[in-house]
Amino acid sequence: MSQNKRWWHRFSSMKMGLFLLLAISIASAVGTVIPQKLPEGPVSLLMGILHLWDVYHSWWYIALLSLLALNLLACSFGRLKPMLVGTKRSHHLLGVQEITKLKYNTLFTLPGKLDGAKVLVESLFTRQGYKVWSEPDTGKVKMGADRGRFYVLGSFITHISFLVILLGVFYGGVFGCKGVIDAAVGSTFDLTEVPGLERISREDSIQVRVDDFWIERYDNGSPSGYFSRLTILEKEQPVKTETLGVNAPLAYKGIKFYQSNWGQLAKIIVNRADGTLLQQGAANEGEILRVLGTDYSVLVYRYHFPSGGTMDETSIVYAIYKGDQPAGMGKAQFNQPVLLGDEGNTFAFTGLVPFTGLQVKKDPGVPMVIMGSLLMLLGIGSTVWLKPRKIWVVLEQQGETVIVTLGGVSHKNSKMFAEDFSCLVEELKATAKLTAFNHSIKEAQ
Amino acid sequence: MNSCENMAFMVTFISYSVAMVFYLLYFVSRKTGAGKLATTTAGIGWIANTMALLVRSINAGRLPFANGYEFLLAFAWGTILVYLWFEYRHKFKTAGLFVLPLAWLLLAYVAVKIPVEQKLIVPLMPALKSHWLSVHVATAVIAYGAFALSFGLAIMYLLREREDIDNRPGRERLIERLPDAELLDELSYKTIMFGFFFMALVIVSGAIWAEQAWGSYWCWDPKETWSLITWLIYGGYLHARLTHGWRGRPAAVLAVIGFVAVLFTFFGVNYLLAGLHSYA
Repeated sequence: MSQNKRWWHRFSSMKMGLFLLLAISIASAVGTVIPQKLPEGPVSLLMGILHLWDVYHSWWYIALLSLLALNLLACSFGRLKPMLVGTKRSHHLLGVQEITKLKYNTLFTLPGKLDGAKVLVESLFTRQGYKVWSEPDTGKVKMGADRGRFYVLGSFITHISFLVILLGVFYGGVFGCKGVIDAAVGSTFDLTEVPGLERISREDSIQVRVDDFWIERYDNGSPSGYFSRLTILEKEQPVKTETLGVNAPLAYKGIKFYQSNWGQLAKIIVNRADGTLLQQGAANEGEILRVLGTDYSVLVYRYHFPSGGTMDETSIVYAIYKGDQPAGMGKAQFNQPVLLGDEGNTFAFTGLVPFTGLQVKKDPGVPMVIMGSLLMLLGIGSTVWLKPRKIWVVLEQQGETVIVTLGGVSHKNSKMFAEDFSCLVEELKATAKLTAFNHSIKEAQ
Repeated sequence: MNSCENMAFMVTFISYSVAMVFYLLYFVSRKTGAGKLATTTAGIGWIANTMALLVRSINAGRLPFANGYEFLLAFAWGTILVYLWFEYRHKFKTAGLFVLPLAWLLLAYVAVKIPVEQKLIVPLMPALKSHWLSVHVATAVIAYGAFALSFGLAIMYLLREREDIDNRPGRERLIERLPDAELLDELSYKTIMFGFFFMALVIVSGAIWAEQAWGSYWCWDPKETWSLITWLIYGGYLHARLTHGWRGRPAAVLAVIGFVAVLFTFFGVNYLLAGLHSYA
């Protein structure tokens, strides 16, 4: 074997596959122990190189998966030819001597004629799901039967299905995108405004209007569902209005909208020193509004609802930043102007508005992943439930009885095949006895 | 938990306990009567277990798959279902001695460790309101049941094999009453194949559901990841067996490791790691 061939042989081996399975299992387990988010503060060298805060998207995890995919590909196609040969029905027959050399074989006699015995064997085997073929010889009949010959394809289908799934994941990763937006009720947003969805083509401009958001509750007050009614607009014309909820996303042209959050946004206006409007916006608790044309920004820190008071008495705790530096903080009621920097700009919170948090996603890989999953179930299912078996029989007439030589093989579960094999023999004998008995009754009548 | 359900739970627990005693008696005495009693009491226990789940379904107006308590009850139910089917199919009773204690332990855990407030019927949170919940959990019950059985068989194999190695002639020992090691090995393999298929169903149904509920078919949530790890371990078992001839001892050890991973996926992840699966 040349160096290259030996290397290839080793790479496409099952040992390599098993090693990769083990490595992926360990790596996956590591990802469940280390928190999977970017740590605050400095990152250690090991963490940095191995990307341990995002194991499943790290270069080495993806490399392991790719290696496994290659190994599977090599492994599967290397065995494809003998596998396909295995699924072909050979129709070959064995003689008495060959049958007695099989691991499971037996010899017994049945009363009656050759033809009757042949029909008996045929009908019993067919009932048990075998395909039967036969060939008459002088004074004897040779028979063969098999079932579950597609069993060998099961593992091939399973392995290929895994590759289909990975391909779907890859395809979705490259051509898909995903983003989250908190959209106030009554507002309209363009898909390209959703952070993370910039990749969506600007040409087929799709806009979404949030018509409503509501919560339904059980009698005990706990929420039973969160719902948003959205209208999709194309070229500013409404094309679809639908209500979506948890477990019931809205789909439009391959883009799916999911209910993922809810709450209230603080409405903010920023005025210039002369009182003219500079900017209007909204932000959730913990979010920052950047003021256009300045290096100031406002952090909406927390809403403060006075106990027993009215909504009008709500105040908002804020912080002002100039660049990265804090430049002040305080608490403001609605419509109470707050000075923003030296230029005389002011901002004010004008009220709270309910919003719906939507996850917007485009993943063209999903159909491929689903197809791969179904293929995988088909593949595993056929290795679980198909029982590959081959049986050969020779029937020979001797006087008033038929000598039956029967033997079989199975690639799977030989101990259990032994059990089935002896059951088959017993059933054959019992049916023969019953037939002979019925026959004698008929003759007596 | 109302009194009817409580009663069904008690009957289940007592029946499984009594069945364990009968399985032990059968194992020691080889008396057919003890064997029959063992199967009958296990069967009664299973029917009571079914009743407990049924009463809960009726009271809650949904299948009993929504929290840890309900799932443990269903896990015990699945384990006994798979075991009884196996006993019927292979006419092989000694395995009961090794499988029933697992279901018993699950119920004992429910009785001792789960506080009453976690047993209350609570309405489903919005994320769980899906038909996929039933498919996902029902397949998990069967998969876990099969893995529990394969674990019992692997333990039996390890005991039997040790006995075969230091076999001293002239002494009949209890362990020798276990079935032939080769048969145990094959049965354990067959059960794992079965469980492997159902685990694949669990993962696929979970992925389809997650695509609807969380917006992504795979989120690397710890429970998700650990179910994948469990599945990969059993996948490794099947491969090592088929092409490396890993039968007998190494296969049995791997089957035990696989079941430890199952238990970790169920218990460990809930108590040690936080994630999206916080409800089960």
